[in-house]
Amino acid sequence: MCMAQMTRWPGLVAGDIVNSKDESGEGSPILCTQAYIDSKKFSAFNVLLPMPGFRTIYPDNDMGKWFEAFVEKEGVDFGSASGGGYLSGNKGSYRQILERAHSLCIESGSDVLFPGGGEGDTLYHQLTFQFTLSSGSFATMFLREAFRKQEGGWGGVEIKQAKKRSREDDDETVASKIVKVE
Amino acid sequence: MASRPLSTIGVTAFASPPVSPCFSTPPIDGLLKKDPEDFVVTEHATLTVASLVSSIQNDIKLPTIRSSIADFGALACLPSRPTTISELPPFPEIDNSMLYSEENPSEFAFTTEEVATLTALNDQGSANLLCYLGAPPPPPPITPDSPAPPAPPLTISFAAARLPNKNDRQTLMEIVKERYLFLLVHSEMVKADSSTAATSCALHLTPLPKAITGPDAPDLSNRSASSGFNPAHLYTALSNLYSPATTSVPTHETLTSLFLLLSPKFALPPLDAKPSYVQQPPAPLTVSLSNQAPKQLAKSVEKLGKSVRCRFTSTSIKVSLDHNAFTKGWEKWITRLRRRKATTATASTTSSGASATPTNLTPLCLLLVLEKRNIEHHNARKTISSFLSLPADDNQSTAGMKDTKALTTQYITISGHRQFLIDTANKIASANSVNGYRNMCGNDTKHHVYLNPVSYRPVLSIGDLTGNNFKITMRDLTQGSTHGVTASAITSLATRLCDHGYVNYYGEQRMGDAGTLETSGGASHRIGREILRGKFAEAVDLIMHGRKIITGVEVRDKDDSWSRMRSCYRSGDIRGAFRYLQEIRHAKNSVEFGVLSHLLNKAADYEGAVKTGLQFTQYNVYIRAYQSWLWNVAVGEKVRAVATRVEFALSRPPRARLSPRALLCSRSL
Repeated sequence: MCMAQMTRWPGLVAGDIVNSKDESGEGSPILCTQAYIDSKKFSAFNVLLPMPGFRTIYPDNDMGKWFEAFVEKEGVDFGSASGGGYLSGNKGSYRQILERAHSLCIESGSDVLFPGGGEGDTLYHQLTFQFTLSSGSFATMFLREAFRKQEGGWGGVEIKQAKKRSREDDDETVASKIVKVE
Repeated sequence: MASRPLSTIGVTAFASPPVSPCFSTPPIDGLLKKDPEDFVVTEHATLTVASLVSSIQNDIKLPTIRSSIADFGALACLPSRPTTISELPPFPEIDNSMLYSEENPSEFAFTTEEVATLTALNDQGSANLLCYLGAPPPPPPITPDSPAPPAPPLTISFAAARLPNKNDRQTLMEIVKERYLFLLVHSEMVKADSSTAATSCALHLTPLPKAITGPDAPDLSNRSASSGFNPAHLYTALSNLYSPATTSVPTHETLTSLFLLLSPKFALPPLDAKPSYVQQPPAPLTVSLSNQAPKQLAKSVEKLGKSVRCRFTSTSIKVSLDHNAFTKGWEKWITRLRRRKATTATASTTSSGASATPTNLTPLCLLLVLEKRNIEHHNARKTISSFLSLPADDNQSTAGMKDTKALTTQYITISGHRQFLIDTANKIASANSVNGYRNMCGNDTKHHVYLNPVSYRPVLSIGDLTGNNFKITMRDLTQGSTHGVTASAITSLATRLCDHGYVNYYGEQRMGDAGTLETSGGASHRIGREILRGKFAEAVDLIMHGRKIITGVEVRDKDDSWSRMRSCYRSGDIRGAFRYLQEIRHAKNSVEFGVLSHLLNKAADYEGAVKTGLQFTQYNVYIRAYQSWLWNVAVGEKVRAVATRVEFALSRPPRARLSPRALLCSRSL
């Protein structure tokens, strides 16, 4: 069901850059056409956004126009491939928008809560997360997503840490701030 | 036995990869790492056995390496007991039968001399090239015109009565380039008696045998009666440049051999003539020089090649050989061979239709497991370089950077020639054998860098990393107003994270803490932005502003020494700021040190301070931080565009919170 939801995610629109890598790891970023969308070859997990550089291209849609406008406003110049030397780090790359945790195991003390356990009304005060993320993904962002108020994602239940309750008002100051209870 | 301060948490019943030792985290006040000591993430670099084995199978076809990697396992784990010297795998020996492809003999694209040289160099331990070359060609026909065996290498010594200036150097290099493609340079500093306080020095240049002059080298037979190698010419030229003055036999203080690789193009010696690259120099002619001699001589020698490094004091000079010099030279040569091989393979494929197997000539590196705690990536590299006396930290390669405030384990490779790698592995194993893992940071309980040699493999690169395994403990959790979390909530949370996914933002450690310039300092992405704008003076100011600032106080500033240095810089006193910086422990590895050193030498050269004062990797960190920040802004825009149109299947916080301006450190824009 979840995958069905994701494949219907309209984040994939024509002109997006998608990762065409198959299971063998072959493939490169390509522009997604309407034909690809109709064939349901790619899901939202294939969508990439460029880290701009002199070798990357922008999506061929509104997002690409946004990129061009923003980079122009910033007034930065990524140089060119012929620049060489210190400019060689500016070539840019692509990164997928969505990431999933793999091999997730949540335990508390000796109790394995996920996978396998996770039923009953016992309250747990301490959790140990063990998981694998693909290279380049940040565990801090994983935790930030885990400890945020969800709308329908997991029943409107929020987990937050007790000591943060007194500091709920300045939630825009930090990236990893826990979203306050509403 | 290792006296490791960490407890071990057992592996859970869940079918996850094996886990290296972890330690429990103290209670954390929120997810934000307010106090760096309170936020501890355990990371493991995950290199799959499959990727390692396949790379080895594809590259060098050595069953010994394959089995050692397979035995080792999938994750970079520091074993509870250090590997001993006897447990270290032997450096793979070259088996000539591995140099040829028995399956497809027509692939061969190299001469017997090339194969022989590879073998000879590996036998000498001066290179570590493991090659899959293809079948040997038929032996060349013996003709009466076969060239005579080369003359043995000779050593030319000359005393430096005066120091080589720029014109001298150019003349010397022209001679060298014209006739001899390799020179072995012995640089010798001798200290005269203390009464005169004079210093003597001598240089020895040993041309390598004629046999290794290249096929593209100029034909010297027309210029000389001999076979082209005439040391008298070189000697005459050198003598004209430097006339000897005194002949007193000095006390040798340092003697270091330097390889100057002047051109990657050369041919190879015949099978029976192993090149002798190191010659014992004759007693040098010496000459007294002024006290300024070592410094000037060091500069002159340094100009001769990038692989030469000179360190000098007022009375002595230490010249060291870059361990990579030889390997790098061979890599150039290999690149040429590989290109030639590819061309040949393409041609043969086109003509015969047969598929050609790619040929790989891959130098092996020493593979180690690196465990570090509370050490920044670049600092760890410098620590390792210093401990192992590596000539530069670009000898090290990793598949990625790990967090600073964490206990992390990852693979690392160290490159160099064969004997150097074997010696390095033994050195680490010996250090670990005394009292468990040797902490390369000294007796610091809060920081450590452990190394454990594992095996030999081709160099690691960024693409070799498949993922990271994390283990994070969080305490004092509440759910709504209830203290504690129910298991069902945890299950649904886990299901969402595994199935629905989440937005793959870059973390703030990539670019620096959130906040304004005043509260969080010169975050990396701000520095990168100014560099990309070409505003190097602003970039330097941001670097000197400091980066890790929380609630207005720099984290590492225990005794206000950093703030003293920074306020001194802000007042325009660069020399004073540098003096403060020199007094700070470990400050020599900081970016501020590199920048200030450059500004001291070249005042107001901010572009140079950024481009040469910073290491290239550190420069890239700034650029990529800005690119990452831009990506975060863009993905926020993308998600917001989607979320405003339809019901978003993922988590959909209020728009203001999804805005990257709120999420990341963009408030100071």
